[in-house]
Amino acid sequence: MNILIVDDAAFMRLRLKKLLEDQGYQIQEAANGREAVERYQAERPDLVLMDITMPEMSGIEALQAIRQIDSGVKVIMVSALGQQAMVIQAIQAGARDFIVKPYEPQRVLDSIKKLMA
Amino acid sequence: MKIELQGVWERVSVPALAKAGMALSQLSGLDFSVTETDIIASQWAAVKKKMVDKNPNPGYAVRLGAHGLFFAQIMLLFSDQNGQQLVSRMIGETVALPLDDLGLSALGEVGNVVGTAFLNVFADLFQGVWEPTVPEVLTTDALKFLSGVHDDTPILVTEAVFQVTGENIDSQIIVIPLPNEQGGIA
Repeated sequence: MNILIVDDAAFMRLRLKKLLEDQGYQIQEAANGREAVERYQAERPDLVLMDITMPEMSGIEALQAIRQIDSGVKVIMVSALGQQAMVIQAIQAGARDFIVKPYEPQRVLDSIKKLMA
Repeated sequence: MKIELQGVWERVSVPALAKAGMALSQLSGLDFSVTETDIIASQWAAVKKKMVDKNPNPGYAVRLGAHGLFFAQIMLLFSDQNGQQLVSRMIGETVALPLDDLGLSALGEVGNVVGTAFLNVFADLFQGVWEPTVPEVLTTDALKFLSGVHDDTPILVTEAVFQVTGENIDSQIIVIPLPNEQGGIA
């Protein structure tokens, strides 16, 4: 299964990549929302892990743009911005789950397994 | 800022700092506690002098702006050694100074996670959104972030020290609410 990790922090991409590669997932990376939209369009990963606060294009804007390409896209938001209003906004925009940073690794794995079941 | 809002700020800052400390512990795997919490109203010149006295050579600073409820600046300050030790623990191996791009990214993420945890408490209390900007990491002259604030500007500052018991790692967080990017507290 291919997963696209979208986060402007290289450290967080590396941490998530290690976690998921250890579980046998294939990983692609994007450093901002605009890059995420381009990579999604080109490579159609099975699932996207999306940060919110990023330069050029936010995760919410990227989610909306990707849903214009594929309304069935599976996106899990992974962000420190766990404010109730923001979680509601993300879910209304089409996110399937919202994981607040800092996260427990098992929380990420459980969410992916649940969505891909 | 009206007196009653200042009172709310002072009361909510304490649990918000506690949440920020918990976030730092979870991200780093280190048992940070919040010490020396201070919430003061003063003129910017006095606040700046205190910051310089406490941090004559901060080494690394992470700065986030925040917008939504109102404008604010959040800064986390680290000495060279503390930045190095914290990043080494997060990456899982000893990193060299000066920090490379991955180390700076890790330090920026500390600022993002800790600063946003602070903002989340206020946002949920006021049922609004208080959104951070992308973190900037500065390696020299941390106070340059606030060079646009006039010395006589009345200002409200929340600051705290995060410390790991039994280890020589600590960092300082400073939150400065402002009505706009240049002004002070009305």
